[in-house]
Amino acid sequence: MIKLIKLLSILLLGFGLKTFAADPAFIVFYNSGKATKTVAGKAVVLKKGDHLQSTDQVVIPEKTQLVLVCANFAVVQLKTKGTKELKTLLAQCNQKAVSASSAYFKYVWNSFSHAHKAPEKDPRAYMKTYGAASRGKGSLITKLYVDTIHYYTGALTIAWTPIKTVPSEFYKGAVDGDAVLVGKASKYAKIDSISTKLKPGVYYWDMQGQQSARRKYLKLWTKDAYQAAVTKILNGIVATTPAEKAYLTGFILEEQHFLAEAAKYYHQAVNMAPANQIYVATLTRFKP
Amino acid sequence: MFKYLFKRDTLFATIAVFLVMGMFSFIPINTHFLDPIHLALADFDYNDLAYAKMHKNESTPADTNIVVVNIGYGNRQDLAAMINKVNNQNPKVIGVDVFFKAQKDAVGDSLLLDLFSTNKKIVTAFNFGSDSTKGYFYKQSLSKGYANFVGEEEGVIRQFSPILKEGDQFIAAFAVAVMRKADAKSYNNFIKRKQLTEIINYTRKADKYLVIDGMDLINGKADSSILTNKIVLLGYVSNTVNDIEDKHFTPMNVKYTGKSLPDMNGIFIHANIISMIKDHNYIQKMPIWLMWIIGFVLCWLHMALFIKDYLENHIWFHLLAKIAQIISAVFFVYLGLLCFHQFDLKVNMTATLAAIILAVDVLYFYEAFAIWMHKKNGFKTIFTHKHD
Repeated sequence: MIKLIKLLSILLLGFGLKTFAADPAFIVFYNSGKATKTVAGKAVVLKKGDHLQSTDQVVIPEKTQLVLVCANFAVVQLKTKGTKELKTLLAQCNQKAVSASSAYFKYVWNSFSHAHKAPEKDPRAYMKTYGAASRGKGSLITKLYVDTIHYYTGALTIAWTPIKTVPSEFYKGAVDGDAVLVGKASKYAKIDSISTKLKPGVYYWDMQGQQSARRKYLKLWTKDAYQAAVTKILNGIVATTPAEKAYLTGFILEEQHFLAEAAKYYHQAVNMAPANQIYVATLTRFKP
Repeated sequence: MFKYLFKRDTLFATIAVFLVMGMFSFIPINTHFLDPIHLALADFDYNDLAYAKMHKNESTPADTNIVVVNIGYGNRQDLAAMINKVNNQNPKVIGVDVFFKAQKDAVGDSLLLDLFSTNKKIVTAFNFGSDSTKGYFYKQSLSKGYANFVGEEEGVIRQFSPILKEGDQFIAAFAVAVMRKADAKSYNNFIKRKQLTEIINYTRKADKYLVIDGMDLINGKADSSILTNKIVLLGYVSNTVNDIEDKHFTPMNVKYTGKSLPDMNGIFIHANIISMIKDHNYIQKMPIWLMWIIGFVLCWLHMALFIKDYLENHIWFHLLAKIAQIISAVFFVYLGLLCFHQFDLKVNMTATLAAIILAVDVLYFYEAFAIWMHKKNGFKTIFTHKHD
């Protein structure tokens, strides 16, 4: 029995020491040129399978790609010319997953050392669940009111605040369904360039990752129908001064959600009366 | 069995069981993680079986005093329009169970801000935590309550904390804040209970509350006159089983343990709390001292039975003891469930069950200890004849 206990102790000690053994931090997976590591003052060209410690430095020459694999199999690519200290790359490797033994014993230690609590005694510690629907999480606010856009042609850029680079997603359905088009990640959505990739019809869109209550409505018109609709609106505009008429036209068109058309008339108004701050401020909303 | 009931050894062995239990409770480490049953049944309460298997409260009639308005995917302007529509019908109170994390559109925000800061009938919900996480309209809202429940994160919601102190002021849970406006008498009655946490007496699933669609209300498709003099709660109601927005696990879930879908929207959990306060229909907890007394008496009876078998029927002792433990476990869990089901009384039988399970092992230890004492100090024990 005593022998068995001694054997178990040695095994446990062995497992424990293995936890602290110094494994290589990185292994070279690919070296497209002559990336080197300095050993005893000499530059040694790295080759596939070489082990690198976190204390090592590597030198990347021009037009060379060095691909390293972390101990947890994450891949790190180095392309920029210069000297790189490998310890600065450790953050990209999840050290928690390095050793199964250490992970297990950490779990045991954490479980042992965490007291068994009860919600009845400390309810504040157990109040992380709230029973309310969230509205407005992580919202990006568009500079223009774009819950509805009627569009056929013309420059139209929808920017948002806070400034954040996200792709815009376009759907056929208002609520469910896969995106029919995902735009490039950008700080704004260019409806004019997106419309060239979509057929006329009704679409719903939003910035990726937004928890909007409802997707935004985008109607891509055919040329004739669009012109007829715009002409109908323009017929109702009251003529005043040229600049004022242009601004009023833009305003009515924006109210009717013909935003690209509205931007065109706001431009005209600003060109005719550049000192008018209301015109300038209105047009600024259409710029990224 | 009764022959041994009043023997000194039976009493001492029973006391030994509780001493061992006390020793376990004083060990400052948590050994539950080594227990696969505990891990599998984490966040499980025997009383959940009262709902899932014994159909507790299934025949409760619908609560016609509460009307739920489903906000669906309405935006902030829609919500403001819904609140106005509800307010026009002169309800008792309007509970807005929606969490507005940040500002959104200027028009919608302005409309809601105006309503929340001027209308005394509106109670808004906020997230209990630091000021930055309480929500966009927190400071301006005239009446508010935290929508948080008490339980493991993403676990089964069984209780809530009615009132908490934050700094110099007391803040109420959302349902409690709603009841303060709707029914002051019931509210005062509830507050007198002075419970740090209150077990939610789930009496109704979603189908036992009247739900009307908020967009139908705005468009005039719903009969808004049913809102007059009612407790109106605005919140999100899922359309499908798989839609889990603001949905939580409750003891009413048909699958009471293991992997399943959450079963109840937050708005209905609040509605159940409101029904409970309004009807004064609380879950009572058995006092801890009574639980220990019951545990001791039952352990004593079992110990007498075990000692009898140990001394008179030793060859069958283990088998009989295990059978007795299983039968007792089933019976006492049933007894606890019956109290919960019939009398809304939560009886904690954990100590009783633990004592009965430990009794056999402690009996072995006690027997060895008693014989050692007998040989050393002449301690009189009924176990001596077995070894003499």
